[in-house]
Amino acid sequence: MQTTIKKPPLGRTASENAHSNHTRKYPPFGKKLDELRRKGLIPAMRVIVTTNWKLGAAYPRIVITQEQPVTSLQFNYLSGLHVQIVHYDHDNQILESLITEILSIQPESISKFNMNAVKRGEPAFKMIYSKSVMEAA
Amino acid sequence: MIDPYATIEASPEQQAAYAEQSAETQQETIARLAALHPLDYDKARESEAEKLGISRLSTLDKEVAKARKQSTEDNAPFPDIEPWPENINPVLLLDEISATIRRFIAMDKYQADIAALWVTTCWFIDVIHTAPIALINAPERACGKTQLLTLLSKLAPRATQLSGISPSVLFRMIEKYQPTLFVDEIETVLKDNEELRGLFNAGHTRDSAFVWRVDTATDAKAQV
Repeated sequence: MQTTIKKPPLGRTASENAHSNHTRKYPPFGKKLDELRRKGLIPAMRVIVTTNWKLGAAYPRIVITQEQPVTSLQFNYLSGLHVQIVHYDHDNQILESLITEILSIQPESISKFNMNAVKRGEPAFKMIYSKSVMEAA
Repeated sequence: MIDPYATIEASPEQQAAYAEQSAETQQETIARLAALHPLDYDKARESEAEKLGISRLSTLDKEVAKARKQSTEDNAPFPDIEPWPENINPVLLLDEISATIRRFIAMDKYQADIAALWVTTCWFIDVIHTAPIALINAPERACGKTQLLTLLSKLAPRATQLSGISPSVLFRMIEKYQPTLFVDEIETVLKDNEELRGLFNAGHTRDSAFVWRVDTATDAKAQV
């Protein structure tokens, strides 16, 4: 298993977020997760971020559609949670900005899983950032 | 099957991270506090007041109490429907609605298609000029008229099933929620009730879909 730990960019401060959170939109299922967080609840399982409606349906998930640029989406409800991006090769163009956006809201961990890599027999899982690993180091 | 949205309580660190990233406005914070159970609010009020920069807790209490009252008044009895995030194929959607109707009701395909078109039209009420009234009729009793009415009410926006209502309650409902009305046994509901008949007859075109209100204090009239 290949593991790379990156330090996340500093999270946005509340004042920096104030405007963007009003203009940003929830991706599908994002509102549901945000409502849970507002009640002080979190999903019992890691949250899947996927670009394909068929992926991750057995998990709490958000779906990134092509209609909305990643930078216009709201991810604040993922802060402090374990997040896994499940993607295909052809999602690489948005992957970097997606990871940057999610890292900026300070998740507990973020990893990615490439479905095409599984088919090729290559390592599919990659840990991008883990707060607990960072703190232990 | 495991519920993907089974939840656990967030740890204080996770909640703090969420609060930091959520960037609530003052109003949003008050709305969130108003939604809390009173015991939870009591636990949170001091720290929340500090975050908001409010020195007197009673000020926050008053604002939260006001928001609670407003929230009860605004509490609409209809779910908030989110638009589907992707473009859909209308033909497939209509076919699916029609097939769903025929799954539960024995009727010809063209009848189910008409019902599907009607219920779809209900979602465009803000942009259409005339809203057709669907009259569900059958040659004999126990044909499934109420079943169809119930089924359509599951597909329409802000659907409200009525079996008896006063004109004043109906008026207030229309004013507040703009519901899609489903009336069973309409002949008995409208019998000897000219006011209701008037509301139903006139309410399906944009030109006549309003009622006059009179403010008794100022005698001012307003269209709704």
